[in-house]
Amino acid sequence: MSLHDLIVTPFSYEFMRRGVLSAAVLSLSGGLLGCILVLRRLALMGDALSHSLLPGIALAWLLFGPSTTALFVGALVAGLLTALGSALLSRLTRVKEDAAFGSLFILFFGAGIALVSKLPTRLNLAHFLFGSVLGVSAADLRLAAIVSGVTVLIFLVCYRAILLETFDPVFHRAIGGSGGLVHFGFLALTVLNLVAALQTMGIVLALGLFLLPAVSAYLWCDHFFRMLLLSVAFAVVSSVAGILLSYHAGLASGAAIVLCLGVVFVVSALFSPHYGALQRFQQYLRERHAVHQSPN
Amino acid sequence: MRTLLPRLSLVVFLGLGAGTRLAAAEDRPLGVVALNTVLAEITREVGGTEVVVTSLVRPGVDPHAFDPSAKDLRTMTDADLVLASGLQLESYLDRLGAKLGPGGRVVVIGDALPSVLTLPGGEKDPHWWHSIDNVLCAADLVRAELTRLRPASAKVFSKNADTYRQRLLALKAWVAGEMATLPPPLRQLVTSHDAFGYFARDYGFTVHAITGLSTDGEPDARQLARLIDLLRREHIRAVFAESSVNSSLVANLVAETGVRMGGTLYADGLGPVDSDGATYETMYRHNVRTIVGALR
Repeated sequence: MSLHDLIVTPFSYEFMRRGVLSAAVLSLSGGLLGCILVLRRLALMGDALSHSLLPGIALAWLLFGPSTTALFVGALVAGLLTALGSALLSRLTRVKEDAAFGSLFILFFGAGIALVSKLPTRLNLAHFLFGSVLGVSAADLRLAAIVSGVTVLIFLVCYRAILLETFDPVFHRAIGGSGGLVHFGFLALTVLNLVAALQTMGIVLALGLFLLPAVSAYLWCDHFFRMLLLSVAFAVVSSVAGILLSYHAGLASGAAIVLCLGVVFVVSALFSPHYGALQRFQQYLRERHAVHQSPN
Repeated sequence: MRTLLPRLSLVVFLGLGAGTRLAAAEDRPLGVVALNTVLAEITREVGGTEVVVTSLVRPGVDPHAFDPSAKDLRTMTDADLVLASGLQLESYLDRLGAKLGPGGRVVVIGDALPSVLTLPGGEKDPHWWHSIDNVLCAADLVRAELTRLRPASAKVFSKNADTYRQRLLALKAWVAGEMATLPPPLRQLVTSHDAFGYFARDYGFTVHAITGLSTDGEPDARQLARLIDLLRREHIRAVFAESSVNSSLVANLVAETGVRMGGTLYADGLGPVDSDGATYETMYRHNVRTIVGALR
């Protein structure tokens, strides 16, 4: 097989170009959010939020039928309620934010399943919520581009406040910054991106694109801006590699991209020159050696 | 009045309880639960007024995704007979037998059909009703089951089954007439999931499906690319969506190749009451008209 067959021919198909483009577009905003999620120890929140969308979708379906706009808004409202509810619970009661999230999402998910069983659906609802990167339409791509653009714009405008709130929330509040507002704004953006990504690409790929590149990049650099760039680069390269893997090996497309992201992550975790497992192990051996060599 | 009603209902309740114990009393209709919309229709036709049929999977709902509720389980336990499609269409069937206990009688129609399609991998195609011959056979099996439960009504069941049989034979003749107008090279069926194997066998079609036998599978890029090549190479005129599957992938095929969207087929059972797929005959006619009309 020539290099042409390997790389160029697959992208002569419109659906391949659209799939990679939508993954790239969302990996831009998803990478930004992912980096903050990782740094703020909210990495599992994306998973929880994606489950909490179900009652919103089911209710929207019950009231307005299977209109894409209604389902999108329904999912958005359910996600925002979970995020707002958890933020409020953690501030107004003794419950910490992770426990609040954990409790609310499972409550929402349960309500969603109950609603779905009452729906006169003509579709397998899971399919509607969890799209496929191969089924991305022009409208889906437009939605992804708008959401990603808005997210990046907000990040540019509020870059300073977000950085301060992430790395030194106490100082941020001391100089008069509104921590609650930044925090909730950030959660709202995460929900917005998650809903857009779920509808276009499916749950596995959406969560994978948000988290894995950010964690991988976290293992390589100390500088926030470089971490952002590296995470987006990881996401784009893995998306291209993954969809090619799906094309040549006949694997499910979303899963293939996540596998490529996973390879990047595992390699980073093992071989990163500063924070990788191998480096740590070598350092441990050197230190032990040094202790044995010392005269006392 | 207030004191009378509970007493009255108690009497009625006791009366019913006694009735069930008297070995399916002759004046009470047989209670049959069908796990498949086509089986429900067959049982209604054959049983007539002697039988009350409950169809647990509502029309239009994806049977691959259906999961029975506690109420559904109770309905099944109370029934004289439970009819299942089998061949792995009801993925919950294995667990069901244990839950229903010794009282519940589950008859799996698919296991008793003489000509079941087996795929190269050894998997059996569960969409048996797309062959009219199979439905004729299923009607006879249902007649035998009902007769065994209520021998006194054997003549009625026999007469009803015969009427239904005549209608099915008329349908079969009509389909043969329609098919005669479609030259064999044009008999290529591109659909969302592989549900039309029996139809293809009976009428000489080749099926090209985006995903496999169940609606659960996530498609891969290679399969989609092959379908696009095939549509271009063989000049296939139309592709078809299904009533219970998200159509975004089919829409992408249409956008990319410029073939026509041939229409929506009933793949996994009957449609809702007010649709043109409400009965087996109208469903079959709808599918044949849609396919022949779009490909001719």
